[in-house]
Amino acid sequence: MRIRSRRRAVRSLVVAMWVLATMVGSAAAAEPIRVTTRFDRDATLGSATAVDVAVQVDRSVQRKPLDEVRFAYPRGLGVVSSGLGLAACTRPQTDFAKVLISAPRLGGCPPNSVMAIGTAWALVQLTNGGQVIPEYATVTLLSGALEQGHLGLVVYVDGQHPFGAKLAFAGEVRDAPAPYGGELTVRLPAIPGIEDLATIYLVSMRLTIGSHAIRYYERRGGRTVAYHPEGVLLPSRCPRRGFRFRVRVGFVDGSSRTATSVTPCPPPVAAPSFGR
Amino acid sequence: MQTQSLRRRGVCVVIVAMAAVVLAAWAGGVSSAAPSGHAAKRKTLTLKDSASLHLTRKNGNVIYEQGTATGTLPGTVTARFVTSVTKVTGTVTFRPYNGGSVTVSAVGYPQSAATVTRFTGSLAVRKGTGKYKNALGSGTFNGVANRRTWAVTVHVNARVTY
Repeated sequence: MRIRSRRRAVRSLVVAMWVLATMVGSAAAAEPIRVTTRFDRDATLGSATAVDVAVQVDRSVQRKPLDEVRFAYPRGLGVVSSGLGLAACTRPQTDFAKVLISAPRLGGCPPNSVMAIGTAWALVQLTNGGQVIPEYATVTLLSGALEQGHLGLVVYVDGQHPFGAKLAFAGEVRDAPAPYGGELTVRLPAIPGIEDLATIYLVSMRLTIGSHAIRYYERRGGRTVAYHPEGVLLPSRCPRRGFRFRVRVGFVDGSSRTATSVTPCPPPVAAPSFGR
Repeated sequence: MQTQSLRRRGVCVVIVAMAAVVLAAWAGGVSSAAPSGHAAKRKTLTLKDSASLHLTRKNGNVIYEQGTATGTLPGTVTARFVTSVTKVTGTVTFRPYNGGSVTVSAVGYPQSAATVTRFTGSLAVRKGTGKYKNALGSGTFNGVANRRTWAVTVHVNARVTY
């Protein structure tokens, strides 16, 4: 009898935990900001990898223009020790507050300053008539100049369809307190050329830091040779509870939302097999 | 009788207290004399070395390097650097060819985000082995690092006592 009642108790406990877990899962699904981070499928501890970061803005907060996006990465992740950001993109301050009508490739920044590439979806609400049009853009994260206490960043947004506006935003990378190692900040001020015509709302953004599509160039034997820069370096030991990332989105009304993501540890490097 | 024993006790207390004061003063004198005597035995070295380092391995944000040094303490050098956004911290161990070793803690600041960047920093001599046992000191360094290959050339100026 006692054993049966214990089994029943254990079963009901398991069911209760499952129900709770389901509730937590659905609550997470309704979060205003969601972030997911992934390493390469074949990534191993101690090796270089691309870091894929996807940010989704829920409908509940979609109609709030953004002011700032902060992305913190875990301590121990080799961003500075990677082969990324070997040149600095230095743009005049005036470029950050207007639509760049005719911008060369990468907004004129050196290709060796590219740290991440990706895409973004935004909703463009026209001031006249209130029509809402989705806009697709490619996004490039570029390393900027090293200034006092931080490394500058430039985010180059190349609108594709239907508007095709080219925009540049300034940002920076700073050291971050544990459990994070550094934090990327991108400021998104209202752009005078656009704010009278339309309001832009971010829907989603996906950036791959150290993407395999990034190409750098170097002089070798008197020739310019393209190569794929080494991605973000993973430590050989996994942090407790995985690699923790955090995204904090600030809105123009002064409110902010934070979302975290934990990327599970990739396996350690497989020991070489010497045959039987 | 009681007053006499109380007086004796009082005298004893005074004697013990005076003895304690004298002992403390003597001990203090000895302890204060000890470092100066010890310091007299310590040697001072003005370290002026240049080191060429190359990457041996990386582990996340940690870079391991080794190379050779020329100057006051010619020999081999190994280093472990922790990289962050705007500074590099780490430990560097000099192993002179004539024996012993000197280990320093260093904090360096890059001057640009270019592939080949200059850096400056300060160091503290933390420990040593062999003839440099109990080495202490401080200094500065500057150099050039190639962030593509992580080849580093560094010039060190430090004052070391051992």
